Amino acid sequence: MFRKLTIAALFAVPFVMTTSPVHADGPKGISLPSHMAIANPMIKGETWDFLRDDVVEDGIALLDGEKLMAFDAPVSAFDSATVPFSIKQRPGTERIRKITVLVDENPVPVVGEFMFGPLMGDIDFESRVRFDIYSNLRVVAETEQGRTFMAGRFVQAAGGCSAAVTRDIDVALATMGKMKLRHIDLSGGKDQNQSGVIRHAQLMIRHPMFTGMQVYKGTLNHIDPRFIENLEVKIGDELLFSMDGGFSISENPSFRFSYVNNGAQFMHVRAVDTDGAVFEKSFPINQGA
Amino acid sequence: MRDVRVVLLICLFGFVLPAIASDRPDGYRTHEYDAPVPDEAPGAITVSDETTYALWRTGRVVIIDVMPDIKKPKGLPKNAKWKGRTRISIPGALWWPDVGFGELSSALETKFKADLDRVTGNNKKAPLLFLCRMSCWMSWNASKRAASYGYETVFWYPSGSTGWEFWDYPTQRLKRDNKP
Repeated sequence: MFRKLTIAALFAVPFVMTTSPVHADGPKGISLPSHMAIANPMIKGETWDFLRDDVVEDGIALLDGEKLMAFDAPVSAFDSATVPFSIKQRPGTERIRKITVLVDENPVPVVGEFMFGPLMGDIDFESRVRFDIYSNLRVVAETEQGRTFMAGRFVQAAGGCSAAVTRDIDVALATMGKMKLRHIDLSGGKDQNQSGVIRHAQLMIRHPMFTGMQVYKGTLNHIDPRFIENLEVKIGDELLFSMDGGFSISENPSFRFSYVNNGAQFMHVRAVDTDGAVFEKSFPINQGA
Repeated sequence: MRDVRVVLLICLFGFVLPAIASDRPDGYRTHEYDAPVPDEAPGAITVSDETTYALWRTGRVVIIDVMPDIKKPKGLPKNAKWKGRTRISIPGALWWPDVGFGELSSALETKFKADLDRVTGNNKKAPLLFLCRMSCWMSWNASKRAASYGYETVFWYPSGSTGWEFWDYPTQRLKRDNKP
């Protein structure tokens, strides 16, 4: 009996030794200060000098965006047609009212202008974009106090604006406008339906988002541009976020975001594409007892 | 055994060499523009990085960059501001993105001739210099084409912007100069 226990203990010791450090660091692991963690800072280039006037008004100072938010985009991407980027606002900073996202070297550099309603709270936002050629991906954020911040990363990805459509074009067009909303419970079991609770959601919209730079297989004729150029997401009557632009947003757009629940019964999504097609859906929320 | 190999090699070269050569004097390169280029373009003077720099410094040579751009898709909404591709090249160079292709539409060819007339002031002796980037046939095509129009002083800069940037010579973002 005693011998059996010692044998068991011998086996257990290395197990405990290897697992304990993970627990000691917590589930998130080590977090470096942001200035040390940036592996791919933006590269200074002449393109931005030229773009700046289109995006930032004359005389406006651009403040260091790293102080306002943690901005993330990969060093390089497996798929240049779906390069993810994310913005996580730092706690205690002023409310972000609007962001403009740019891929400097894309033929249409402005990915989109996103307006954020007050119910977005501290912005936690993620989406995916196309890259035509290696480029800076930058975000210009305007706060409620009227200050403008900028952050960005250099991403090595190319060919994404002319990348082949991932599925049969007829199927893509037939399913265009289908939407899905998914809630992700990160609260650890709190009641999600109460007002004031921060919820995490992901909105997915089926749309081929043709840039006009892609071609039909076989004939190699260009596919006409057609993409969602305007999007509005509301909870009840209150705006969560809107998007204007869309050229560089990836096929089948996906937006992950957090918001402050106001207890409304529906989340409304309205998308308009460049052909004037309107896609609308109301998702029931806060209706579970 | 060795003799056979030599004979085989001669046979191979006998076929291959004329095939390459035929790409040169008659006609233009119409495909695979990103490929090694010959040392000379017919009717043009090949120039090195240093010579190009010296020519640029004189300020008297019309420098034409023929690096292609992306075609703007038809039917883009107005608020989708089209920038096209960024071209960083020799300061003061003109950017004519389409004239280095193997075949030009007659409209484009007419325009190319008119543009050359404009920038040289109808002077066939005016010095012209063509470039794109390293191992790019577009500048070879354009040089040869300009020479065929009767321009007597055509410089061809085969290392192009790649060579220019390598030596850290000054650069500038170019604007398209030959909008259709």
